[in-house]
Amino acid sequence: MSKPAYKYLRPEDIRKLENFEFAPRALVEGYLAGAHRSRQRGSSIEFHEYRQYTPGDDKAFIDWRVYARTDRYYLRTHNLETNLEGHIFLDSSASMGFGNNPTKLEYASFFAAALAYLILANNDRVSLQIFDDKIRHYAPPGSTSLHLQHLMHLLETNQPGNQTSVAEALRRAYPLLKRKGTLVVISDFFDEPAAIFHALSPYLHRGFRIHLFHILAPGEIDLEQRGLAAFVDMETRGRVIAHTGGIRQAYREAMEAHQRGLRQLAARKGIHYTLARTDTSYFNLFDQFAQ
Amino acid sequence: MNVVFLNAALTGFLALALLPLLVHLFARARPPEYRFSSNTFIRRVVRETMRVRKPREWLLLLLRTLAVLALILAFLRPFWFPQKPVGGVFQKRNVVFIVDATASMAAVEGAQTRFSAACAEVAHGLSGLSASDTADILWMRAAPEAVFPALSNNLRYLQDAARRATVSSETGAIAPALKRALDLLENAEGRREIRVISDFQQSAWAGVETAVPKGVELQKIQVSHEEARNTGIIRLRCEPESPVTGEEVVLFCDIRNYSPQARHCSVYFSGGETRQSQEVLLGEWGAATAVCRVKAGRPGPMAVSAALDEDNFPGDDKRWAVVPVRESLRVGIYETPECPDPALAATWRKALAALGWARVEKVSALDSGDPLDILMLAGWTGEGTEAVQSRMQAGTAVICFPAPTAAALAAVAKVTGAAPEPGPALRWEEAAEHTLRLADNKADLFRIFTQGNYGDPSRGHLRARLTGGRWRENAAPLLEYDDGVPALARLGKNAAFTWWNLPVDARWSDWAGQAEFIPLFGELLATCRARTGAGESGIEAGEPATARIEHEALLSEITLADDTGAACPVVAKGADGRGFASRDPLKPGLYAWNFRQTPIAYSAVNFPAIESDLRALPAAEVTRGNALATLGGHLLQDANTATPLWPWLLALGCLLLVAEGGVLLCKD
Repeated sequence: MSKPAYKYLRPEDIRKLENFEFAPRALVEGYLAGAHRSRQRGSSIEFHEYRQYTPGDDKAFIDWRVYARTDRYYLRTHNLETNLEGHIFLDSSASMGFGNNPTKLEYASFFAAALAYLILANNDRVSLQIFDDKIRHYAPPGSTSLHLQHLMHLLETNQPGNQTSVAEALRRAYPLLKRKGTLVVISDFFDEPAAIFHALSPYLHRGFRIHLFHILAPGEIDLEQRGLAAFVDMETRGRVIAHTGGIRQAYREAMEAHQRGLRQLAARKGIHYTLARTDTSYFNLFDQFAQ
Repeated sequence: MNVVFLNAALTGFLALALLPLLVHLFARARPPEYRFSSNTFIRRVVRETMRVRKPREWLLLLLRTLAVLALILAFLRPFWFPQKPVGGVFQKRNVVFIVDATASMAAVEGAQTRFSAACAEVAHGLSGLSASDTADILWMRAAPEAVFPALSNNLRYLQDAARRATVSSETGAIAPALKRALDLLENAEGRREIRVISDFQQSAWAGVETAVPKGVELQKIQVSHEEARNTGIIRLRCEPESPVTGEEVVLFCDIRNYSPQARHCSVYFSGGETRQSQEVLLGEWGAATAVCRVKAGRPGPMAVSAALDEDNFPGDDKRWAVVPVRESLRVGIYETPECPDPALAATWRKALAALGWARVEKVSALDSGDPLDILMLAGWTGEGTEAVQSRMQAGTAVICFPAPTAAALAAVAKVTGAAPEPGPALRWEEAAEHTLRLADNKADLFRIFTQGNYGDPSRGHLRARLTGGRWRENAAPLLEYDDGVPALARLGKNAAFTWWNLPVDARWSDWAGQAEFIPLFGELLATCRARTGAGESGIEAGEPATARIEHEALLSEITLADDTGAACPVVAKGADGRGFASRDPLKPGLYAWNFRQTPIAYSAVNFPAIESDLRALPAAEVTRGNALATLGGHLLQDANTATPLWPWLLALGCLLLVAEGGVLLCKD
């Protein structure tokens, strides 16, 4: 694969990523032979086991050489190798523009670009959906270098948009995903947790592995001391006048409660939840896939 | 409310009490904007905490406002008078500044004079008045003078007047100044205040009552900070007061040291053709008299002066006097038939004619009123006692040979105050021969005889005399008979009366025929006048100088010039065309009255001696009479009448700030 210079995929990052392997814990079904074993038995070159024939089995898998020696019908089974299909959901609402060097959106874009590169490097397919309260851009799954170039272009031309509605975006994206795979949602999740997980339920039913990456800037986790200030909402433009000294503790507690709620709901549904601070390296986030 | 703000000029700063409220309002209205990702949680948190935070914010605002208010009020330095009724704090104010412009205010303290400090206090006080307030400045001199005839709100002009004012060399009329100030405030509405700004010189202010009517506040501001030290000439007098040409004049210069250290100083005399200097040692707070003898020159006014080396307070380091020198003495001889020595008057006339510097006038009546230097009474029986007394009071010396009567003796006792010894009555006695002896050989009368050049003044034999004329007190015998009977004695407290008990008739005496008689007689005439106790001539600064010339003159022909030749305005005094006076009060110095550019008289204007003592009244004395006193802008607490509120306000302000901090800590 060529290594062109992208904004969110720098050569030094690519060198680092070559040491990574995207190894999701679950094998997913694919239509191309790939590096990932499937639980489904099928035609492939890797032998799995012999088992006795039972009515209904495909007679094509009977090993006739064993029948000649033993006069019994044995089926020769192989592990089916299939490709991974990764679906990256990137929140591009106005609130993702918060933060300095990098903003949350830049941080998320770096992570999404690296993740896409890693998937494609394993000859897997990856799709990208950029959303705010609706799907703003959709790149269907692909595995070519041209596809990577298209994804990078989408990320680079992307700007923070409107209000966040993760749940709405997930509902709208559902019909677009033909095959199950790994769903990676990168967002600040300024939405109702219950609505988000309600929107994720159809994906779970279809067997998607879901990873939620909660992107937060340090200034969102712990309010900066700014005295009396008019907080202007980047999404709604609404103003709230408050003294940071007076609300700092309560805000921290509210944010922690929000994170705790997301983490508990995710754990209950078997979804991976990861808090990602923009002041830490996004390479650490790949550890989540190694679990 | 009996509250006085010493720093009332800062009242405007009370508006700063609104500062916390304004900060609160404006800070909330336009706080800095902060673009934040989502206000969802902030809004929720604010909504939940607002219920507690709102009352706390109001409490903080209240505490801050009260703290600022208390601190500002503390800087206004309020005093509370529990009893003294004063006007409202925010009423219209009417202020009369009585500024001491007397000579002592010229004393330098630090980098400025007391008067400069007083003017600065006035300017400071005026700056504290609002446009609706009225004020006036009253300069306290010998004659108090107000800048405006009535109270005015032209404060800028008053400030200019205070800036331009100069100190005088005069004494201050305290009571008239206070009365004038009360007159100015009489019809004023609102608060009425008198501020006396002075050094409160002890010599001028001790015992002075400064009571003011109810409803008028009196504030005394003392601008003297330290005990200013000074040495000055307090008097210059001459004896005799009116010498004749060629006569020796003794100048007495009284010097005073107003400091706790002994001092050496040089006194420089100047008179006629004589220049002398003398070293004088002055003890701490002590006085000394320097003496100089000068010879009277040509007839006419002779200016004499005495000066010290200049010190920090030079006003009193020089003093002048004018000595009228005359061509001859005026001696009147009054003779009665009762004189036991019929040759006495004639002998006196002959002797006076021999002297040459005495002009004899016959006195037919004692109350004739003709001015005389010496009145010689031959056979005085006691008539015209009052006339003799009044002449003596006017400076006429008397030489008396009384008639041998009890009335004469009583009259002598009356005019001199001397008491005769009880014993035999006064009588003429022709008896055995007696000789004379000196009763007091150190007396001035015998000074020229001490070298022996003029013989023995007691030489001679006498066979008649008055007996019974012995004196117990107020008597200084000069010559006496060999048995102790007084022959020549000075009587009275000022020794202006000479008791003559010496017959000159050849039947009874050869004393008048001795060579020593004429010198002794001349010395008697000279010294009897010198003991008249004449005071200092001249006037004090602040009084107009006057002159009276012998002939009529036009006002344009008369000029008055100081010692630098600068002319002073002159006005006519009286309708006879002979009296003239200076139009304005004069500064200390020697002034020459000129008729057609020729000096005809001098006026010595001297520094008022009372102003030389620069010591100030103690603070307790200044505050006497319920007046609020300040010393150079610093408070002198009058514990009896006023309670300072500012320490309490300061403490309250600090307490409120601590409480505010406590509330803030509780919040966090």
